[in-house]
Amino acid sequence: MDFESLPMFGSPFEHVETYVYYDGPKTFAMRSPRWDIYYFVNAVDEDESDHSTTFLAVGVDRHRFEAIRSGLVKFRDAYVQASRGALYSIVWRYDADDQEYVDVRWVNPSALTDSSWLPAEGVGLDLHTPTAPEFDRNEVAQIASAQGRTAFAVKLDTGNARITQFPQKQQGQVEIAISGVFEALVREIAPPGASARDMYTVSLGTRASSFVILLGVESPNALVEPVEVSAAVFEQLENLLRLAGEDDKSGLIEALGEHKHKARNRFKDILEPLAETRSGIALTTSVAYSEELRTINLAPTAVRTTLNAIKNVARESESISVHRGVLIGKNVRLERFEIFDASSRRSYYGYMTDAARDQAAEIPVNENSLVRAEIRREWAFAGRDEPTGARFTLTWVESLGEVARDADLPTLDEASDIARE
Amino acid sequence: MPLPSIQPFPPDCPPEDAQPVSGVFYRLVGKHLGVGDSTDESSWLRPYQTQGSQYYKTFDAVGAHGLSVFADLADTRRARGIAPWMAKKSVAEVTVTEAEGSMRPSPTAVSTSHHDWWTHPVDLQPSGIVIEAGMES
Repeated sequence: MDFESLPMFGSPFEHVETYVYYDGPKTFAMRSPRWDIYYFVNAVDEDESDHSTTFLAVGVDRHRFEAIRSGLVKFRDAYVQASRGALYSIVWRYDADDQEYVDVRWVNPSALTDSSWLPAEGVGLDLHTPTAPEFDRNEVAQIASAQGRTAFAVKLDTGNARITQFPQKQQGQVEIAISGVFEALVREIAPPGASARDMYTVSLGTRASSFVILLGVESPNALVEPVEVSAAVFEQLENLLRLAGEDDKSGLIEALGEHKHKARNRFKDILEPLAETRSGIALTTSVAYSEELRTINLAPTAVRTTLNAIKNVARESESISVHRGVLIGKNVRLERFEIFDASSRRSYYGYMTDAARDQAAEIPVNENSLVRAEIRREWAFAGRDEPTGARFTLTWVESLGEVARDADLPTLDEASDIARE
Repeated sequence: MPLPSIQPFPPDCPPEDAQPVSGVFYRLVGKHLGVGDSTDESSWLRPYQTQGSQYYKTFDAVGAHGLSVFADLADTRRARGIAPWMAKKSVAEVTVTEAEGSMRPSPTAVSTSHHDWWTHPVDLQPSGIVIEAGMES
């Protein structure tokens, strides 16, 4: 049986790989070296009376080949949905003198429906099929060296998908969170006014497999990348990932506590889409001019346990004393308040305690009526940034009485506008 | 035209990495055999005796003398789901002892438990029982 020189479009062929072998290849792929044509060849029947064995061969292009190979397209559909003129039956037969004959014919795919020549419903080859260039971690160091910038790669797990893909929503969330944690750490490390504070991350490409996002650092206002900052950023990020990989998360929580909210929040934002897609993460970094290459891995289970540990940290709180404020809104029934602090020129809104509700009920909403108040501000250890991430509760309020309004006090409308800014 | 008779192994057969193995394996047999039937002579035709095999009448290839068996029934079923030719075969269970030859794991992309079995003696006709019938054409 010589399949490679059969009279089908694209002949002669070369063997690609065997999927099912049984006393010889039964399901395999071959391709034309000259054209973008692959054939899936499958043993479908035999007739012991005339000593014949029948194969079906379907011709596809490379993209279809990858889709079928990965299981994105079920193996049965490869044949049922064959393009016109791309489906062949190949019958090998032996005559009474043991002479071999082969009969190759076009087959109409519509004639195959419910045929015993088709693979079972729902069965796919389900093989890992990278459709992007294979990830080579040395490429990260090569980019860093050639472009004089820090390069890094973020490897995600594709879960059940065997082709190079990752849910777009979660990929976007991971990329935004990585950009956010990078910029938050830069602002923690670089002094105010330093050009290093303008650094941001850029997307350089996608690699397989599973799924790798290749990223770099851009320094728009510096002649050369301020590596003292970018190196420190990645050391800290790698340290957080390393601590996240430990069973005891107390080290991570302590380390996160040393960072400002934005860095904490963005670190948590990286983990959330990973947990949703049951992905782990591997960060491969080469800092500009360092010639070094480092990789930190965080397994999918560690992603989930880390996220839970962060969520379980008790909310933090502080008390804010407003010495000269304006009660610009209240709803006693719903126990909601809004106070403008004339000193800090910011407003607070949220719920009232029962005691504060009773006190506020007696105070008119009036731009000439000043108040003193105590407000409790609570925020998650890591969550959303202010103002949406913080929760304000009015715990005590007292009227200072009707006074002549200072020139620097806004009207109610102005205060509301400032609050909305 | 009679099928080729059992041939002696060619040089270097079984290959060095084939080892004596014991355990339960699964062999596809003709669909004329139903559940509970014993395997027959047609069940153990070597690839060089099988007209549907690319090894037919190829006596000097090591692979032409190895019988295909699966170590895992689920893997066997998966392969049958992919290749209709296999789905039409019945499945026989055979218990192999170390004295009955050498095996080499030869997984393919989708059949991880596939083994090649070079029997001892070379013309061994193992005893298997059909446990699943072949699909009707």
